[in-house]
Amino acid sequence: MTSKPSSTSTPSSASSGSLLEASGITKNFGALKVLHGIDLAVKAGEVLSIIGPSGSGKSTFIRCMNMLERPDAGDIIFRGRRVGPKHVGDAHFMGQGELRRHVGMVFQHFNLFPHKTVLENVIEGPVVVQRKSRAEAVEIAMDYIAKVGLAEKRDAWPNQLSGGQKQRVAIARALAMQPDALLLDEVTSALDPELVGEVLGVVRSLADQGMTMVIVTHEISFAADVSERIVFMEAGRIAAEGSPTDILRSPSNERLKAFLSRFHA
Amino acid sequence: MYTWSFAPILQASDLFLLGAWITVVYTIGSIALGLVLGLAVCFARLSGNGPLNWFAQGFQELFRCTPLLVQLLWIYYALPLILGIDIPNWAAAMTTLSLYAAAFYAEVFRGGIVSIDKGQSEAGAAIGMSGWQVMRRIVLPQAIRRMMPAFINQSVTQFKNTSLVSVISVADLTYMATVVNGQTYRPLEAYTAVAILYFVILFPITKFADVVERRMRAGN
Repeated sequence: MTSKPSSTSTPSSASSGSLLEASGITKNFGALKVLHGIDLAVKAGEVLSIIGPSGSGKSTFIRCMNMLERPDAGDIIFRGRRVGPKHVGDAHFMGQGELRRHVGMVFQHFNLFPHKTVLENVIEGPVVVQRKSRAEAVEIAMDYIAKVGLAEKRDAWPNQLSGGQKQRVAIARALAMQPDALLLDEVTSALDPELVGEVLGVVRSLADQGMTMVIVTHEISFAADVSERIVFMEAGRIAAEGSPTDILRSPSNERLKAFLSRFHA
Repeated sequence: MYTWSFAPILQASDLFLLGAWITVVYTIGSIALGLVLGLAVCFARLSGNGPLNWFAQGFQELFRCTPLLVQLLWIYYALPLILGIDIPNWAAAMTTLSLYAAAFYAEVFRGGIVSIDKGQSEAGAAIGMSGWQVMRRIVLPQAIRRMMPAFINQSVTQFKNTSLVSVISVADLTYMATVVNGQTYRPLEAYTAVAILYFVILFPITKFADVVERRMRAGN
């Protein structure tokens, strides 16, 4: 990030109470403007869903939140520290690697490592990144693999699993890093309809346990059910934001109304 | 009608074995050097550094778009004149074979690496892995499996390509055929014997490559 430290307000998570914050995020792909300065703050323990039509920039935005996409302007701020070039001894900054150790991500297409078993997929982060002993990593990993209901699949290879099972392993892999927050990017969009439920069940139980989550989804009713707050994105901007009741029962925005009407058809 | 007589050839079998040994040494040596250099060229291509990429690509195209025989002659006869130094034939042979192998290996490696889905490196990055950790633990293990058949194929070609070093008097298997021919006046038998030796060495290797490829496809 190249933004001048003085140009944005000094981040202070103490006053705002936000765990993960996006400030003025702008992103272009060549001439295409995808994000037009998004501001969004997520509090610890909050579950926030981002909905919106295809191409509205919601996936790009959530990928900016852990720097898989590098914003052209704006800041990602985690616990009051701006993610950017790391200055040794400067407590106001953190590197993107450190951010990602605290903020996990689950992808639409699972992205399991096909050359590693279920267990190896899940211990990879703890062993390689956190430098935990293998024994400790296995203990942590098995805990999460059991939580997503796949303990008996620990030695299976990814290509032996159904889509729903793969996605549950991917969630366990993210959880094994014991992150402070989880980003879920359309985690059920690549699944056969009958497999969606098992993945949403896992996400719901994480919400019940107080995991901070940002969820990009097309499952509107699930979003309403599990989230405290829903953000509606349209053409690279946040077009509406509020509680599930505000957004779904009494949408004020015309575009949001049009978007929602397609789901009630 | 020509009457075949392999008896004089068999008497020179020690020469053929020595030649085969020299051929194996040049093959293994140039494969090893080509592998290291090819990896460097491949990473230069993938580095995203403009001049480095341009240089690596220039090197590749130079060695892929000129015949190996011409390269060999040029490095043995022309390069010493330009540099004003003496290059012994074994050094010219090993250098040329290695550079040639590197140009092709780099493309095999690059093709393997870029064929790995971007989601794999993203998944590695998302659990906090560094770029190097992602390359070493996630991308390369998958890419190596995928590039194996092309790598073996290129190495088989490399083995046969070493026969060209005989034109600058490196005493490889093909060169020995010329020597034996000079001693026995039995060119047909000498070249037949050499062909058989090449085949006997390479046939098991190509069969092995088939097995590797089948196993790899089963694995995916």
